[in-house]
Amino acid sequence: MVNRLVIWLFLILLLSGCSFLPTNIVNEINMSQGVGYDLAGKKGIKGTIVFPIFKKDKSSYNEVKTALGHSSKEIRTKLNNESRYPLVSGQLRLALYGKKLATNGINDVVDTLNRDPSIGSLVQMAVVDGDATELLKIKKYKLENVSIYLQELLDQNMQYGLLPRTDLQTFLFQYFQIGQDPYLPLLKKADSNIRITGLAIFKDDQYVTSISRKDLFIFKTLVDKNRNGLRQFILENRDKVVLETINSMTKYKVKIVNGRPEFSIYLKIKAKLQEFAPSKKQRQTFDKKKYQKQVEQELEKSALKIITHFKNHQVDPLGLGAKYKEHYRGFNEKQWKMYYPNVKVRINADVEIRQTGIID
Amino acid sequence: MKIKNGDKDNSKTSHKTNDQNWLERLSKSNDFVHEHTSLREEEPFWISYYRTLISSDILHQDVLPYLQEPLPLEELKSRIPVQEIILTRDEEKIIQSIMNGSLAVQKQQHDKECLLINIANSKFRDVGMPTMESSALGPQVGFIEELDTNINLIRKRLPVPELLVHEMKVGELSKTRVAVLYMDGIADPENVNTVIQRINDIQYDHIQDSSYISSMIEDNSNSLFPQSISTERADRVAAGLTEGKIIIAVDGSPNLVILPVTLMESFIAMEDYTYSWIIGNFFRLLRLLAIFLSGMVTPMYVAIMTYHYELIPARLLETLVGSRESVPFPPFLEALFLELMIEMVKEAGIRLPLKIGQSLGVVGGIVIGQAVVEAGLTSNVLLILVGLGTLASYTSPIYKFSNTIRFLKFPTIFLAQWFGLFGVFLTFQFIQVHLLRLTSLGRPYISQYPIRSTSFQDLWVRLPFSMQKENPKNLRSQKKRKSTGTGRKPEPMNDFYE
Amino acid sequence: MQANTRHQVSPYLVFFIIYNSQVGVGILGFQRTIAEKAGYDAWIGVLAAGCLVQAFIWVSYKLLGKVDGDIIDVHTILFGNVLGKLFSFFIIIYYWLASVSVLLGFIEIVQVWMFPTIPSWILSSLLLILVYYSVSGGFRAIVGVSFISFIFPQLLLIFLYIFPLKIAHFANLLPLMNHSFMDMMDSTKSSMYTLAGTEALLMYYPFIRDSKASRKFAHLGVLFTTLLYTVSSIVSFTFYSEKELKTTIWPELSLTKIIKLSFLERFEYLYISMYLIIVTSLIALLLWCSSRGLKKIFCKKQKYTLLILSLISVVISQFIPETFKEMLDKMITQMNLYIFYGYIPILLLVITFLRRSNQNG
Repeated sequence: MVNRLVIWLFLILLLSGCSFLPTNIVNEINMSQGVGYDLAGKKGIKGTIVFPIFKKDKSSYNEVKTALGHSSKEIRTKLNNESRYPLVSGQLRLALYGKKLATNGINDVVDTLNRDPSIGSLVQMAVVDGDATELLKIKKYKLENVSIYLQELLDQNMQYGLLPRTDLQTFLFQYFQIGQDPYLPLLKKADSNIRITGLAIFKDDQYVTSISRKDLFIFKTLVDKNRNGLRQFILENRDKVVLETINSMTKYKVKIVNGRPEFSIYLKIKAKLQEFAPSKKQRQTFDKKKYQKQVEQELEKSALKIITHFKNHQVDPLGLGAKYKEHYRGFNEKQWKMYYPNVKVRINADVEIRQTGIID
Repeated sequence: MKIKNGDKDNSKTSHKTNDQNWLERLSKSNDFVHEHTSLREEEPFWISYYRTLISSDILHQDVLPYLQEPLPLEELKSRIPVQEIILTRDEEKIIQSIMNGSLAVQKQQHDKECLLINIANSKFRDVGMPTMESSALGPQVGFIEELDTNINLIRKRLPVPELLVHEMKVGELSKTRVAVLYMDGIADPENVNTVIQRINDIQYDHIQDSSYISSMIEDNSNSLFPQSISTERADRVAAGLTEGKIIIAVDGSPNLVILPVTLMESFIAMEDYTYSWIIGNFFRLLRLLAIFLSGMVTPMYVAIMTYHYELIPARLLETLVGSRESVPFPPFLEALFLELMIEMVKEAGIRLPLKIGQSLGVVGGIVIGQAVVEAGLTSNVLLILVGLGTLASYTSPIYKFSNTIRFLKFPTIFLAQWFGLFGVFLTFQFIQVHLLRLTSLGRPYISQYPIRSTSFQDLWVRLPFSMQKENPKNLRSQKKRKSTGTGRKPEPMNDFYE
Repeated sequence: MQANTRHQVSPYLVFFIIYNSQVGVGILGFQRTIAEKAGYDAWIGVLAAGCLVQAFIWVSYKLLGKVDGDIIDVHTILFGNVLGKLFSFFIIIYYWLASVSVLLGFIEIVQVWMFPTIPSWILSSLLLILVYYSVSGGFRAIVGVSFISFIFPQLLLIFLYIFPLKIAHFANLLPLMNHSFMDMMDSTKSSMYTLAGTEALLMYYPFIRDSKASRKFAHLGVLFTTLLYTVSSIVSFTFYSEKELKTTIWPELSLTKIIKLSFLERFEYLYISMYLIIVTSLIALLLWCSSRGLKKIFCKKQKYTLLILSLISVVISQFIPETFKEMLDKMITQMNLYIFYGYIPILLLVITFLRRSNQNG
């Protein structure tokens, strides 16, 4: 009997000990869904946290709060002073970085996203051309939940649009990968709208340059196995051809010539014609073979253009270095960095226009 | 070994040595009648019977007319047109027969010799419908409170001499007739012996229902899980018998007990066999899923709402958080409150008189639930989950099992409150270990381990009859196969096969 | 020296026991340790380690088949009662230390990922109560738990690997065999810790009905886990870049972060909670081995030996310093290597030699 009593006492003690676990009851926490960081002063950070306030009758709205500090968690602590419930970051969906902060390096603020177990790896990240706080504070999105809006905006464009796939996970992968530099979408506030304006290219964790929306198509083709993507080609004779990718394949081949790597990139695109406007302003049958050739040339040209652009800025978002490393056992990072600005890259595009729509 | 349908155990409890005459012992009861058949003291006979046990029609029409002339008892035995007549001096036998509705006839009041005429009231109750285990298709025959009728029902389904009935009397005071039924040559004799042994060992004053017996002979009486199935369906009993299971029938109880069973059998409805095997499987697996969900949904809600808000997808967040926005209680109390409320409605619905009960079920379920949500005491999402969970628990055809599942929810909710998801899986694993340790008649209770080929013929899933060839191995049936045919059908008649 | 037939289990169940004994918390983090030196070639090291374990299984079956009992019987036959029991004691201590290592590893994961403030003794008590309940159900119950710990996580694993494989960078594995032999040896050695656990066979061998027939299932079990570990390391290697993997403490858990369904996301919380099934069944097996060993050595009831071992484990989990855990892991790896890959084969040689000379003499 005494034995049993001891066991029960122990169990009661055990279970009472656990009611001290800190709870996160969903309606008694403020879940930050979006954060934005900007440079403030010389070394400080201006952090903005967006969290939704849910109401039963669906009239939910967003609370956007800003504070200055030196680290992201310090900012959270400061903002805790002015929020009704404790701020938690487990529902984070979006992290924005102001361009100025990005130029200085975002590693300090990304670290906590990587370290905190409560933060998922599907967080969308983007660089804001301008001020991240301003973007999050746009009045129009007060009632719309700006973090989810932006996350889905980016998601949607990655799936159906021209953006290559990026999120926290890919950023970390590229950041740590030897011979590759990360890239993130570039957003801009235009009037009172938010728009994707291109892609921010990083060197390690520092923003270096960007590519414009025009070049997104070729960039996505180079780095992703993309399903969709619309691209307009205005050919030399002013013919306008708009193609949509059905399927694309990219192959990187590395050859070592005189101890130096040489790259050949084979693009294989299967596309369908979406719009065709010949310069003669007259309806004519679409000549597949002719235009395929021209489009290929156009693609090769633009690919070479952005690669030269990358080489000039010493950034390698395509991961040429990583490809080199995969094929060459004697890979040496320092040596590769020396080679990179003058490395030879050949592009070989193969476009096949499969369908011309329901007219020819 | 074989067990003869003997009665060596029948009178085990009535061995009390008595110096009293049986007459004196029986006359203590008010419904015992002891009278003389004529006015003259020394002429005809003394008769004794229980007024409540005999059929007075038979007594007056078939027996009394013969008791007017003074004849020797042997003569009387051959004259009276009743089948079961015994002439005996054995007191025990006399008492027993009278208790069973016989009429005792004596020459003198204190004569040892006694003629026993069975005029028991044989007007049985009508066979009923299975009320707790109803089904849309299939036989609609349910057992009733009379042992003989019940055995009669089983015998009609299995008219073979291998079906043996071993009858016993259990209960110091109630002397309830308990019958153990099994198929000779199929059921494992070890199991049969165990059951009979355990029933013989019962020392209890009264047995009111078969559940008394089943819980007294269970391997682990502290377990929440029913280690035997109590059923009111004749088809389930007959099917079980053919596989080598043992049935316990108790007089006065409409539920028969099936032993040994496995956990999965609580998910099998006899209706499964009336559908095409594919549809039958769909419903069987649906029940499995429903029971699993029923036990898990509310605790998961408590765990996620209290600790793991990270798990909620963005699009669901607004629905979940918004619905809880004005609720003043933590999810734990909210869930406990709703679960208890539903249990109360259910409990009251059973206890209340039939007519009131019906209306209360509706009132309790809908009106109170709605009012609670509108008052802002619980979130409507939880109301849906709790309602769903309770509904899901009733998909099990075994009533006792669905009660178990609903009871198990409560400790799980507590652990979910204390340790979140960790606590939910802690109880889950605890239940699994418990089930692994549990046995039914010494056979493993959990059916997923050890894996046997027969559990995929007719347990987890039900294959077409042509592929269910073996009897379940866990029963150690002496008859290994239930079908000896090849199961091959002639090829369909069409041009393709010509 | 065979156990009572009522307590024995079918030979095919050895597959599940082997699986259970090998898969512990190791699988959540071994990808990092094996890649430390051998980089992304380390998965070859896992395969090599798998071969070693196969060899060990062969050796133990030979050894135990000769005496038809467990390791304690082997020791008593070879070294007599006192010395034999002393040697057995060391092996028993190994089992117990291994269980403590698993316990501490799991507690650390729960604390880091789910409840940073929960005291260790509460977690260890909860787990050990569950373990006590399983062990007190006898060996058959433990095998049942092993079986369950195989079935449920398999369902989850399929899920777990599909998502990362969708975005896998298989080129990460290139170039193959780019590391020196010594580096590969190092990854093999590190894999040995995660693949360790088959040693429990030395204790439960007498509980297998028709134990000789069970050998093929044991080999199959090892093959399965080796492949599982190889696949798991390849999935991690193709998901993370090399430097990233080296910063990630529990690569397999971080993988689950990307799983997203329309009704549930962030599977790591579910995964850790479900991992409790695997962890308790592994600890149950190890504690069964050690408590049974102590019972045989000291002739005490298993109830008491198990209670004492569990209580010490709870105390250790609460009061040891952080550094002890690393030391323990290192110590177990060493012990595992020396005892089971050095000592046991020698024991086999000795016993074979003795038997032969006995026959000759």
